[in-house]
Amino acid sequence: MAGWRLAVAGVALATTWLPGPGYAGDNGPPLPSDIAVKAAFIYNFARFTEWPALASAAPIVVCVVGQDAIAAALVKTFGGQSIGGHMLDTRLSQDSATWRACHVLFVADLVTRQSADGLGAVKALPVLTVSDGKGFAQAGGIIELFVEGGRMRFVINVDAVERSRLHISSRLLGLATIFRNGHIQ
Amino acid sequence: MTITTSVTRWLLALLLVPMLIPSSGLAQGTAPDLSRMSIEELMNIEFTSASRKVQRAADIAAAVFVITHDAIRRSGMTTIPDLLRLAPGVEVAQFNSNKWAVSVRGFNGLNSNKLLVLVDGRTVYSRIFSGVLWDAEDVMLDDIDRIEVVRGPGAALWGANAVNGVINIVTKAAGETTGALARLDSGRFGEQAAVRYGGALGTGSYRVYSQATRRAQSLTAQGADANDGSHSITTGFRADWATQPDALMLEGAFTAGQTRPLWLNFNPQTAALEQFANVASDGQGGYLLGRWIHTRPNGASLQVQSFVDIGGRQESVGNYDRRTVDIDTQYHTALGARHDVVGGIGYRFIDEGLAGISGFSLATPRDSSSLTTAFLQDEIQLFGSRLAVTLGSQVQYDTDSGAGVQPTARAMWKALPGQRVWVAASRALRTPSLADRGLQLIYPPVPTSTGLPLVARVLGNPAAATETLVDAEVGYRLEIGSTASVDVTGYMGHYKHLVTRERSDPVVQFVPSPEILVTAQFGNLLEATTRGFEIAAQWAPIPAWTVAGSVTAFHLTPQPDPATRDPGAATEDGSVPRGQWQLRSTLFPAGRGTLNVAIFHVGPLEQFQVAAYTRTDINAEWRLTDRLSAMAVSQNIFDASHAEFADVRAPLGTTEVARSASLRLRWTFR
Repeated sequence: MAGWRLAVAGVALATTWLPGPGYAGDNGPPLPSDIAVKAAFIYNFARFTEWPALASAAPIVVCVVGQDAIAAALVKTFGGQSIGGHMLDTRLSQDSATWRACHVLFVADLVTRQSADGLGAVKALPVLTVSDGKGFAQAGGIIELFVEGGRMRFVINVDAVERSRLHISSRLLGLATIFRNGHIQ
Repeated sequence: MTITTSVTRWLLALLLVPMLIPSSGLAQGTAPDLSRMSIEELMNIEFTSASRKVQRAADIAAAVFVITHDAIRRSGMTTIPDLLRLAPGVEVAQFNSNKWAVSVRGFNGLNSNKLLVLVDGRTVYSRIFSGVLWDAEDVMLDDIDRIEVVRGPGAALWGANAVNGVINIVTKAAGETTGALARLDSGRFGEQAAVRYGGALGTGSYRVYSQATRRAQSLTAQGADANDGSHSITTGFRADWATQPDALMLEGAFTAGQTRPLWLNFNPQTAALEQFANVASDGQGGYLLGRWIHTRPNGASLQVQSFVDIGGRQESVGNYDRRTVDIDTQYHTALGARHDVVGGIGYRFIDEGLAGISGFSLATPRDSSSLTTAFLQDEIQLFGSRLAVTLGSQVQYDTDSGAGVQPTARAMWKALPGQRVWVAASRALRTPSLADRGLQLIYPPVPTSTGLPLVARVLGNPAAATETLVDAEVGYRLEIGSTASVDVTGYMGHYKHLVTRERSDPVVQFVPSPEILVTAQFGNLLEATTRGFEIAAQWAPIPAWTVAGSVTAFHLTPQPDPATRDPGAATEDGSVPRGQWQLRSTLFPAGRGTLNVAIFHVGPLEQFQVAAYTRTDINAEWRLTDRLSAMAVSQNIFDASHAEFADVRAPLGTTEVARSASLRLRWTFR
């Protein structure tokens, strides 16, 4: 058994000598997982949403506020994909005056509070508002992402959906926690 | 050092071969292709903090299992040890209505000393006894976000005593528990009532809660009431403020309770341990924990956490008290394109005392010690993230047991989409407890035919050694879409300096009183090798039905030092079954309910001669209204009662776990 113990120690030593950097063909750092997953959720929210007046060849404009990495992940992962013939047009949109032109508006947790006025202005417009900020749905946002039990979940405020005149597929609603009449159902 | 064994060559090959493959031959990027995943699949991606940073569970080069909030709720269980049965490879055995033995990969007992348990980053491992006093850990079940179970050494990140595993109980942020909740469980096991209220607090959120539990008596082997009822109440709060770039969390709780531990009574007339010296034991404790996380614009984060924990218990064998102050910092950052580094330093002050009563005492009744730790871990991405190598170590200085180094080397190879292979080699330490070093247990004199009374005593060893483990693990994970996954782990560990009880020949002494003295003193004259595997699988054939199962095997080969005089050393088997399996099914027959069936099979405990048992739990939950749900719970339904443990080394009476039915009502309001 002594040999075996030496063996394990040997492996531990051997691995500490392995060179770290210097391998070719690396494609840059992997995106932090939660950002990539949030981007994938945003893409899927767009897939299951219908806008009342979206021209047949027009792009779906996805505006990202406060977390550039989400926009980067959207472009990297979904840049070449279309939804029903609509390409994704991802923009960074710090200026709330430009939000009326967005189909999907993602506002990161850290700026939701500063963005209350701008969000209020698009409430009655067909803009799918999404955030990972706590209390976003309660504050009138449409979709709020949250982590529960180590998994990504989302709340849909159906009153806000009705106000926006968007149509959200029942498949998406079936997976969501529903917020209606001021409380979680 | 010559490295010649086949194990070495095999492990080295596994580690090095992927590195020798030219990277150009590999496709770039091996993270799951998120662009092709359905939203249901995305919702199945799991995150954990088992690596001291939030990471996908499947990407951690360790045997990790997450018990989710939903699984906790659907289980119908009302204690943390019971809930741990849901994780593959955790060995849970109930002594009686208020005492449990919980271990991972062997060495189970009342003081299961190789498993570290944390609640929101606060250690609940007692240094005086080396183990977790499960009857004192009362966490409001509705507030648990998840329980992360890491099997195998976690010492490089979490420090000493994380030898065989780490259990991390994580509660929900206050923002996720706003509104009111009330839950009542009532049935054969007793009652549990929990209430919580949460709301906004400035820019953050808070909750206050209370959980009261009364556990009914269990049964003796003869079917009589064991008179081991217990009760406890925990009241606490948590507040979170998350205003980027800073997040602040503050939580605290106070627990008070009474148990009947069923200590065995030594009868001098028969020289046997008899059931039961049934004296109530009071326990109380409280803690306050604060955590501050600062995130820099580049994503790096600094975390500072501190807690104060004070507690005591008054047992028939002695009064115990503890005070712990802990401060822990950690910094997590990416360095360049490939390195993800997490490191930190920590300091803990512990003051513990045990005032023994009637023959039970410690050579040092009060001990103040401090523990200074530092850890550093680097996860290095190679070949376009196809291979991740993790190197890390913890170094510590303990004023009681000295310096220690606990390194780990891990590698995960993302072989094909949805498949991962990982290997790990680690060293971990179990530091001697105060009882290991200074126990003085003196039994009442027994009359003998020689005319001189016989006195038996068990003594600690002032020179007690630190137990060490050197361990190697291999794992394989397969994800088949989002509907099925399989997780296989194999391990082999070698332990040194395991505690033995060295008997000495009877000595006739005349001072202070004439008697024959028989002494057993703790030694460290046992080595052991463990081997085992754990297979866990999950399958959701249709969205309305999920099945999960696991099979685990464990084997321990004792290698007693020829000098040992502990007759138990040669028959040591780790005090856990060689095999366990479980099968759990959750059915969502309609939108408003779930039907859950769980079968747990636990093999026999050969060393203790406890028979195998199979426990079947069936429960059904129904949402009566949007705010009120009812759950009918039946536990151990096909078995009137069974024993789960019988440890001759813990003078503790074991009873039988009986069939139980109960009803739960749960009301929520936001």
